[in-house]
Amino acid sequence: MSAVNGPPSASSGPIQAVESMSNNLWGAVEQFRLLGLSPERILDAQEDVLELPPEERFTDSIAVLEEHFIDGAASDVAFELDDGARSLTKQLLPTFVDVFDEQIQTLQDNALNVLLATRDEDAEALVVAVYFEQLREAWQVLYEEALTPDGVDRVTVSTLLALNSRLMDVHSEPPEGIYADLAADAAYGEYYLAQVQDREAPSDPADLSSERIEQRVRVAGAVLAYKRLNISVNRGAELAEMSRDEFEAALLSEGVQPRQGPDANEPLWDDDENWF
Amino acid sequence: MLRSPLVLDNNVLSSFVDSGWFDALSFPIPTYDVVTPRAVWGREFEPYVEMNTPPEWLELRTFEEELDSPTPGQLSDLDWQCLGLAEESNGTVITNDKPLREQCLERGVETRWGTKFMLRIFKGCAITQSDYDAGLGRYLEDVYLPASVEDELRSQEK
Repeated sequence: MSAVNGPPSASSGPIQAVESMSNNLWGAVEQFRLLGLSPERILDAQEDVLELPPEERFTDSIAVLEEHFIDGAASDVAFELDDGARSLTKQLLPTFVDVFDEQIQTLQDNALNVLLATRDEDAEALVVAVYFEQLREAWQVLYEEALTPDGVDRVTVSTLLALNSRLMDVHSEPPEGIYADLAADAAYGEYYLAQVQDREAPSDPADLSSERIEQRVRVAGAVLAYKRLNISVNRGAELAEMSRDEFEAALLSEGVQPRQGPDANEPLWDDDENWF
Repeated sequence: MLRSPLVLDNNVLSSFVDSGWFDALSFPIPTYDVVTPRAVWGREFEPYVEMNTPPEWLELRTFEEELDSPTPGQLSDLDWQCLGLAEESNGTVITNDKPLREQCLERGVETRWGTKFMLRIFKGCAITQSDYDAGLGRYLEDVYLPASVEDELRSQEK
């Protein structure tokens, strides 16, 4: 039995955040009609992307899109921009990424706030928050690469496609096992985005059991929750399913200082303060 | 005066163990009861220190009530038990954790910083100067404080 009760019901759960993002993506796909592109073709491609094994989905799912559009109106999809296109990208992409980032962050906040309002959906909220974090990072990496002379890496685009394809799959009804799928995709996203950025990559999720992947995502989610919410260290440790010492070490490895006091501006000794 | 009992959370308990000052926590006895939730001892403390039974001066209490809060997920279940024990017995929570302290203040529960508590115990002669000097480094590895507070603690003398 828990020592604390929350309000009768949380207004919005983690799956609602995923569904909202899915709806946003479906809305964006509908806009493709305005460009003369067939949304149906995009949706076929999305289904094919999800059928790929993760090692291929996160590195070369762009090939699926190319295959679907090879003789279509989007056959001019190119990832090597000329100077004019790069200039236009420089002007438009920040706005585009900002809009997406704001949408994703709002929904991520909704998922994280579930952790404060109830203690019944901790694992689900952490998975969703970490998934959105990877999605935000994928957009950011795409933006940065688009401005370089080498253009966008196929792995970056493929990672973004893989992450968005999963979200679109939630549209009508969340598929069974959705949280395990989201956790696995978040782990693959982290792995491949670290590789394209030449950062030290975490272990390859292909070598990990699903339990190990879920544990990794849980710890990443607990650290993210601690950064973004005013929760206690013990609550963070509880979310991460770690001891307090282990969780503090996880926080410090991410450059996050545990929130402890007293603060610098508070006197350690106050003669007026009556103690014993 | 603080309100009795003094409810210590696991961070306060373990920081005193790591510093070698654990028995100095008996200093407020006999004026105060020094307590911790039984679950804190069993789940967060005892598994990580070589101590099978609590010392005589530390009372383990069970908290079985359910608290209501609009933000039940701000604190761990065992944090809530510390707060609940102090609330039901009109006591004082001793902690270094800001969110736990904020919840105590919001609910009108008396609370004090663990580090200020430690300093009162030291000045009250329950920790010798040499033990204080020897253990302070380990204490500061366990409790994350601003550099100026750390410096102030390093310069403390009786």
